[in-house]
Amino acid sequence: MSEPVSRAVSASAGHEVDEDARLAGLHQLLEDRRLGEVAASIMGSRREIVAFRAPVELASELAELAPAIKRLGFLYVTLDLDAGEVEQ
Amino acid sequence: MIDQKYAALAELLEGFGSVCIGYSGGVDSVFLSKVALDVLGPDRVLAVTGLSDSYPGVQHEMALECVRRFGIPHLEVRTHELDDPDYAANSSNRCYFCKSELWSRLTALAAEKGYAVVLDGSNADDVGDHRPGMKAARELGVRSPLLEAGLTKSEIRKLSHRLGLPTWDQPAAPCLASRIPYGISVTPERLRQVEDAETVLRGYGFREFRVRHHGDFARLEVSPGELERAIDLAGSLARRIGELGFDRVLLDLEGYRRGALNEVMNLTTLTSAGSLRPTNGGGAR
Repeated sequence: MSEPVSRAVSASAGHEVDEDARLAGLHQLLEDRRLGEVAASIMGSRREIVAFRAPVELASELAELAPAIKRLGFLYVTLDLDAGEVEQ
Repeated sequence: MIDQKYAALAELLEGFGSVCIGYSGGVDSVFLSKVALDVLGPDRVLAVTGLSDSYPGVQHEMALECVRRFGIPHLEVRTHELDDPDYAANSSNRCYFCKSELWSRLTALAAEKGYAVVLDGSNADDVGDHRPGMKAARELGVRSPLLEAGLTKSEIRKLSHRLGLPTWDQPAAPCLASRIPYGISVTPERLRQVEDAETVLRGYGFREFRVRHHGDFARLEVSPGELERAIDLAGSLARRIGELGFDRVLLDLEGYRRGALNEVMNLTTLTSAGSLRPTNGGGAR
């Protein structure tokens, strides 16, 4: 399972400091929307993809955050469809 | 304006004398082949389709349907771009190696059969995009009459509608390799996974979409108007596409946008400038 973003930061140990900054920014964006408990994975060969593991009901709200998330340096903002189904 | 451009296209084609056209069955090449046929007649036109693992089957069906319906003289040749390590490595120049293979074969074929000029279906909207394939075409003397006549994609669709071409509202369908991000190697198996996953989406009635193959997982882009339905179908899509060999299935929350994989080049630019540094944690959570 994925972790809330606050804890996912520590899971990125070994990666560049810039990524910690990106993750902190992501965490803050979610907190500001009261979505702090939403779990996310950072994926992709360049760690350019944010994959939310959240109920599908939150998809619209998470989609609204996409432009701000991309400004942090991520390229794609996604919903993990497996997780959406399981966690409904 | 659109009629003037059409007239300019007809004039260009007439001036070529006889033409061999790279024919994929997409909006542009079907339109170009039909106009060439109308202007030059069947003895001076040959449409040629390059067959390979990266060519979508659904596009091939449309190509053949138009050949039958309009009597377009047609040949198929097998291309072998996947045997080229430079192509399979999937750098941002991948299209250059693919088109070099295709246009080399077509220029040789045209010379052998006595066609004066080889044509592609590039249009005026293609100029600003990242299109290394166009470089290969230029190097081999391939001409782009739609572009030269200034015809844009929307104008080509309008004219296609006028001519009764079934492709007039067909979504763009570039080669399957375009679904694999640069740096992840192109293999026949990955191309098959992409094609099968897109067949699943088509089966659910989605109209405009891409399945991006990121190695272990798939990222689905559907048009923004179809996002809600994709979310409704989350469980089914995850299961059916997952069965094709993907560990995870992600839905892009911004939806389909043209050239989405080229966005990674912006990331590289940022990296070079020192703002961001990509890491090697492929697929890590």
